Amino acid sequence: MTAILASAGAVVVTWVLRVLLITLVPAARLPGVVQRALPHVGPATLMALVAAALFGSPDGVRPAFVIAAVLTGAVAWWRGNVLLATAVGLGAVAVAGLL
Amino acid sequence: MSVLTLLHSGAGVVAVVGSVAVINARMLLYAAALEPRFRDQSGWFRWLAPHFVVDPTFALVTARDDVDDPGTFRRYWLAMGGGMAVVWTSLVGLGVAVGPALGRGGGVLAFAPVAVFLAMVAPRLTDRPALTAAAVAGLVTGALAYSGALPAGTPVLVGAAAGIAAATLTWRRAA
Repeated sequence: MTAILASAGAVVVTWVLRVLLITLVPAARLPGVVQRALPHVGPATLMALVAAALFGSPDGVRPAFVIAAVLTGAVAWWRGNVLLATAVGLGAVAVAGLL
Repeated sequence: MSVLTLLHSGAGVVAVVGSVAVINARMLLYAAALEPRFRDQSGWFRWLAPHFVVDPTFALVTARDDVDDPGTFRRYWLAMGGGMAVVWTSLVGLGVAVGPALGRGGGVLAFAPVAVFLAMVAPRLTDRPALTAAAVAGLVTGALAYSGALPAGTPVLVGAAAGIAAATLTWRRAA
């Protein structure tokens, strides 16, 4: 019963978080300062996810991942190619594992 | 995933739902940023289609400036979200089935989410506010995550908020 209630609660919470500022209280009604901040959500949140994955792993910080992340970011910024940058990053981790 | 992990550790309903809310609070930010694209859509779409708001769909749709037309956005969003749901679920099943056989290859694949998110965000870091947002968010989140002082999901939320605030201040000064 606990599992069913927890799952149902999780479904409701995650759905409300998604529709709250789209349907219930559209972001256009938010104060000006909040609307000016919205374009920065993408770079900030995506980089936060990357940093959490690199430095918050239960296994500790893996130097190979950090080096591969620098390479991935550099290639992506230079070439703008997601597939190429991802392949370079995965390749760097694979090579580091072999060394 | 977090629900299963918490239930397995013996957490109660309130703890599970509260943790899920914190971990997924960034969806609130994503939704606010995507709201202009949902604004001229029909009611059913505004109530149901936000279901597809996740990290990859947000990253992909905000990288495009050719899907602003309501009809084009609706088709793009449903195709991308539906496709991603099918592929995501299939790959999770595949991972459960073949994951144990991957051996060291699994360690390499653990880096895949980091690589994909970095590859999607790096090309956008072309102006001062974007660089500020990413740098501050990365530094704050990295420090908080490394310290282990906050519960799971919270470092991302705090770091992202710090990055957004820093970039907004930079933008205002530059303007």
